[in-house]
Amino acid sequence: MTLTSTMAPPVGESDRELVLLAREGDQEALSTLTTRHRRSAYLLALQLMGNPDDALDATQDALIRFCVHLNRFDAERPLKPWLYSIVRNRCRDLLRRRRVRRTEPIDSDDERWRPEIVDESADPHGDLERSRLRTRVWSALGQLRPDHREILVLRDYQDLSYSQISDLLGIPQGTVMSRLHRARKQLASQLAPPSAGATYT
Amino acid sequence: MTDTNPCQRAFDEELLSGYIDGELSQGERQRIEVHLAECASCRTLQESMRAVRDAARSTAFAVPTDEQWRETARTLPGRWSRQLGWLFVILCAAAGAGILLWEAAASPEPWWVKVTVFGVLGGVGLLFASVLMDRLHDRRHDRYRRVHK
Ligand SMILES: [Zn+2]
Repeated sequence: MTLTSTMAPPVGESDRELVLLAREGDQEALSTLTTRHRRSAYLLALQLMGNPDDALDATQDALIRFCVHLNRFDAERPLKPWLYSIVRNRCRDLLRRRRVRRTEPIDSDDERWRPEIVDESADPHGDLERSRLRTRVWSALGQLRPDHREILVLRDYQDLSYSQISDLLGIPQGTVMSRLHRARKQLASQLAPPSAGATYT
Repeated sequence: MTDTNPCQRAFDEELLSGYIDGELSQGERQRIEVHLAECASCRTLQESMRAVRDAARSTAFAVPTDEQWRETARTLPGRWSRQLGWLFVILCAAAGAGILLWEAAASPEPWWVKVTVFGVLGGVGLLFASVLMDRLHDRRHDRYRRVHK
């Protein structure tokens, strides 16, 4: 594993140019395209699934779907939202399949959620308290209901705007805000025992 | 939470999230700011949500190396062909069962042979159908699809 900060995406032709080339059968363009976007696809999958193995599986599947359905994609539109929706659907499928196989309550299936994948050495200048909070937030995320986790990931980890989230999930922006707020309060209550008061600083 | 005054905001609490995310109109923003200046409990809530957001945004994750990407890409054809393989097995089994039923119904075998064949195949068919129904049920009652307004 390498750190996110050490991997810059390759530069060159625009996504639009690459999509058009790839559609005409240019394998190299297709490979450049997937290599360019696989990292962010993986991070989204990781945040939705909680562990690297599942995330890698989901990402590879999503990338294949992405290549197979490239003809359906409107090259004039930004590529990332489309890829994100494929990744998200793939993760949903995998989580669902796992639930079907297990037939136990959804909320208990999160021993696969591994907090130690957060790399603390990435921020040598940050204080210990902040890095501890990062780990705690990540662990608490794994305890959330899937739809709450999803919206927190999209907003707080992926930094998407309400309108981007609204497009991705197919829900109104007002619903984005209310669901996000409920998810945040839920997360806050996971982070702090009820009696301790809400101080995280 | 030193403030003993109860919160007297006249707006939906979720606007605090909109405020943190910079998604409010100027008018709404001002309303929130006025309220935050006088309400300690909303201030605390707002600060803690902001802290979570900052923590999330600054979290660094390990990503796969090029070698790991190549490694998983290699296992993919296997997975896909396994799925295709299962599909093939199921189709063949269904065809075989159909032929067997047809033969059994038309054959001059004694009645108890027919009952056994129909019984076994019917049982397997029902089991298969129940698994399929479970899958479909789960798909329709997907938690993700529910919109929590
Ligand atoms: Zn208040």
